[in-house]
Amino acid sequence: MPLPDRTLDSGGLAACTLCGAQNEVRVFPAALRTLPAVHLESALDGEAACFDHPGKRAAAACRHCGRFVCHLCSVEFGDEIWCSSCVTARAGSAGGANLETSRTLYDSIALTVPLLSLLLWPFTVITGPGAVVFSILKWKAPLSLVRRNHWRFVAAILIGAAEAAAWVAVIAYFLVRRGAQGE
Amino acid sequence: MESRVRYRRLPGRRRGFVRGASVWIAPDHLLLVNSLRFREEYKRYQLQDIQAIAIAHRPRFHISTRAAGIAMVWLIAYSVLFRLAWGAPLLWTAAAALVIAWVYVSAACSCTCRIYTAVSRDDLPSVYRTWVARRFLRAIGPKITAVQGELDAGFAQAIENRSVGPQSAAPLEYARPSFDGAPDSTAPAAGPRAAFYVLLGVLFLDGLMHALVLYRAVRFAPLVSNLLALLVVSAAIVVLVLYQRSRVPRLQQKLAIATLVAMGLMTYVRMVAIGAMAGARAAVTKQAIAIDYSGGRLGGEIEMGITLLLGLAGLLVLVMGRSADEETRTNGSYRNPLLP
Repeated sequence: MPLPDRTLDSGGLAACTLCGAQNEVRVFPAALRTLPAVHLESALDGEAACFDHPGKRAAAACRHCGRFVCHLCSVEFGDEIWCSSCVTARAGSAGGANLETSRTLYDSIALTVPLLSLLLWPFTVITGPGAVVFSILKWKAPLSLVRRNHWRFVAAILIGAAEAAAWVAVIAYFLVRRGAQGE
Repeated sequence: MESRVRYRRLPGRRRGFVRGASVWIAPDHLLLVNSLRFREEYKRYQLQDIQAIAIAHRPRFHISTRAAGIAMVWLIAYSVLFRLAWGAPLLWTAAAALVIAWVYVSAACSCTCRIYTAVSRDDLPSVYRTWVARRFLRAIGPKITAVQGELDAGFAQAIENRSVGPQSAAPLEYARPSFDGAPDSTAPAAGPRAAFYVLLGVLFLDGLMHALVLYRAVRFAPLVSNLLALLVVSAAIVVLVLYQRSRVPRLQQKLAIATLVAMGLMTYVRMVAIGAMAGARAAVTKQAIAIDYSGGRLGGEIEMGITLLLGLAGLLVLVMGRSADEETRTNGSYRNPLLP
């Protein structure tokens, strides 16, 4: 996709000559960088060969397991080279690299369930204590990558405990009342 | 270890009822967070790999949870102040001003922000207002420049024959990963739109029914109203199912969700509000009060307004979808407004 040079030259807003849309494009030097082509050279007799591609010349050794890897199989982690197997297994310092693409937000679940169940309040007899137990069980589960405090769990425990306490109070009230009527 | 990386939020945040999005910056990369209420999905962009950031001005009619909160506050204020002589005119004027401001901002001050690397071009959903986009660029530009350096003076000529973003030969899934596989909001619908027409028709019918009941005695009014409400909910659910099958565009799905949320809120808010008011009245008069859950004139007016507004929004969605269709027919295929 060639970027419109008129837009790039203007430095501000520029109208597309085809659709008239107002565009603003900020280009960075990476756009001009030429990526080096990967050359997979065949291994000659006596030369070290890639573990996964025996016919290809090795370019480096895996930092963790020591396997020889060709250019295609090498994975750069900062200044280190790793083989794809170690990266997949997240071995050594590769394990420290966070490759997560998603997380389940247990704290949001714990907070939402007791709140939503207030709309259908009879369910709070289950969701109240359930939220407390769930919050305690999942307290140490990883939170969001970007927000790390436990306030949702704390709120869920408080709300769940309040709902449970309300149920206990209601049941106790009716039991006492029935007892008083019996006497 | 990245798990200990401290992220700082960049300007812009999308607060939807179900979906949200934000962009965070770490020392060496950006993190795009797409949240689906109970789940977050992450995509990282190394600062050294970012080729360009493009901002294209276009209308974005997004109803955020903040806007819904303002609407809720307005509703509460109306239910409290509507008996005062100046209450209703003041609140309706405020509502009209808010709606006009929202339409103006959505139509004239909105944009799409897209980030390009050598292997991807992704929309940043959290940046959808022009002033936010400018703040976003101001915040991120120096960071990327610090990593990549400055562009040469004659870069425009150098880039003239180059490509930015993923090459066209790359598979689409790789070139533009999608978080939900949903069709683009401006892409034309692939399938029949009968369900959406039904939804629109029933919404207008429901609004008219509310208006009729307000000004005339209608036989079987509760029965017809309930039947229409049932039809609205059914049509909205059908639209959602069709969206899951990629048969209708995202805007129609959004309207269906808004309809379901509005119907749910109208039902529950009405019941809770009427119950609370009746309880308070009973406490004052110390007499049993028969509760009428129909909501009376005020409830009818509010429901009529909301239903007709949803219908008008649906018409707007139809008009926007039709213009996208015409553009597609003119060009042979959907044309990205960012591409020349």
